[in-house]
Amino acid sequence: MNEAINHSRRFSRLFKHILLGSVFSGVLSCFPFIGFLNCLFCILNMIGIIFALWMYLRANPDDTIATGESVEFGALSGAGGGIIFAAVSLLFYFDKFREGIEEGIANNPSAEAVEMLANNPAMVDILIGVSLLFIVFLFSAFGLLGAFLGMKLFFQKRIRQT
Amino acid sequence: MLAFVGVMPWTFIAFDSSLFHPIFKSFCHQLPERSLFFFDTQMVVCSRCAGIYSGIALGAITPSLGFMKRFGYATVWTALSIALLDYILQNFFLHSMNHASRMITGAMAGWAVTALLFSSIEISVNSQQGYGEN
Repeated sequence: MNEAINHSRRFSRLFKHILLGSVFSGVLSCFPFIGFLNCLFCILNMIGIIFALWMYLRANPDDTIATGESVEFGALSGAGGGIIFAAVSLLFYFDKFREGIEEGIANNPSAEAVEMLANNPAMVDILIGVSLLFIVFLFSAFGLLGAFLGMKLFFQKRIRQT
Repeated sequence: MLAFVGVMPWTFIAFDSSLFHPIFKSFCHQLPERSLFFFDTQMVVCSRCAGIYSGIALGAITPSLGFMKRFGYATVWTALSIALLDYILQNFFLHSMNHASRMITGAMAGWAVTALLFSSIEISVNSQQGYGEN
C-alpha cells in the first residue's frame, strides 16, 4: 500500500511533462503536411513524447527515470495525444472520416453487412466512435514504445537502475 | 496491451477489414500495391506495418531472453537499421517492392523493440525485489 502511494507521489513529478507530451504528440500528428510521417512507426507521436521526456530531463538535471516510469509516461502521453488527435479529427475531418467508413461499407464484399449497415444509419456513428477509441489505444501503445525507445537510445545514462 | 495492438490488424481480416481502414489511415499509407490482400479485401495496413505489428505481438509474448539483457541495445539498432536499409533499397535503389522482405524486416524491428522492453522491465522488477530483500 505504502509502495503504491510512494510510487504515485514520485510519478506525479512527471505529470506536467506528460501533459506537454500529449500536446506535442497530438498537435504534431494533426498537422496536415507532416501528418503522413506517422505512417513510419507512428513517428510523430514518438517524437512528441521523446521531446517532452528530453524537456523533463533538461529541467531536472539530477533526476533519473526508471524504465517502468518511462513506459507509463509514454502510455499516458500517447493516450493524451490520441485524444487530441481524435478530437481534431472529429471537429475538422469528420466528413472525411465518415466518407472513409461509408466507402468501406460500399466496398464490403459481404452483402449482408452492407444491407445491415444501410438499414441502420446510426451504425456508422457507432463505428466512428469505436474507431476513435481504437486510435487513442494505438497512440497510447506507440507512445509507450516511443518513450521506452527514447530512454534506451538517447538518454541511456538517465535511466534509474532500481 | 502490446500483444492486443500487435494482433489488431490481423484480427480485422475476420471482420471485413474494409470497415476499419479509417482507423489505421493515420498510421499507415495503405497503398494497395504495398498491402496484403485476404479474401479479396485489402488488409488495414501495408505489408511492412503488418510485419511490425506481428513483431510487436511476438515480442510481447516472448519470454524474457538472456541475450536481450546483454545485447538488447545492439539488437534494436541492428533491426531498425536493417528495416531502414530495406526501406531505402526498395524505394530508391536496387530491388522492386517485395512483401516478404517488407514483412520480415518490419517484424524484426517490432520484435526487437518489444522484446527489449519486456526484458528491461523484468530486470527492473527483479532488481527492485532484490533491493527490497536487502
